[in-house]
Amino acid sequence: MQPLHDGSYRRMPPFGVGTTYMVTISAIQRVVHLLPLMPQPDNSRWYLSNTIDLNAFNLFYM
Amino acid sequence: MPPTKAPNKRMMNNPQPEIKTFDDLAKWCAMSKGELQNHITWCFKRFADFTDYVDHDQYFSCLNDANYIRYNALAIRVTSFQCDEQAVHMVRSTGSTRWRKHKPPRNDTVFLWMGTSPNSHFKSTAGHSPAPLKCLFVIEDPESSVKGLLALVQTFATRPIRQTAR
Repeated sequence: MQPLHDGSYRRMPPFGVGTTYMVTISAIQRVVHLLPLMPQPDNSRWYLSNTIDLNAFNLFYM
Repeated sequence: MPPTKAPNKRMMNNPQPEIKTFDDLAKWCAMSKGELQNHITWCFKRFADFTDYVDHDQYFSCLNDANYIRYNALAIRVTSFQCDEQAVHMVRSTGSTRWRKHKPPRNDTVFLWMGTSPNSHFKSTAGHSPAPLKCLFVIEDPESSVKGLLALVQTFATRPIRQTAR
């Protein structure tokens, strides 16, 4: 992110997927269980476990 | 599906006394001070409907003098969908430092609820966005009497993986 012409940064940061931003903790719902797709240490794709407990299952399918 | 209600009680745990000032926090988050200021102001605007930091110069600069405390853990109470019982989910964000002396660093992934419709956003996760935690901290601004419990996150892109017939 580059500063504006007057040196300030006051503009909306990107809130899309793959971006870094700040949230209040009220936006945090629960823990996520991720399983790496590949065993390599530089793996960047993950399976999202949707059967960790009944709450998680219900979240996706009910 | 109706939007999931946010957990009703949360608590930061394990304060890290070495992060006390805005400069310390910016260094920890690996951001420039201006960038961190901007993230905090827009977080307050977007999630708490508090626009003073974005709109007024004097509030914006107050962030430099506010008090900051970084925490290693956050306890989230998650209510069961079948009854009123609650389970505590402990999430941790230790950055690059070790968790419990001999254990590797932990930066857990959480679900964010962005207050948008599950039918239009993140369909494969019912409207939730998975995101690893990068920093947990509390900001207390004595000038404007603002206290906020904030988290720096980096979201993942989600999509279903379709199985193909052989």
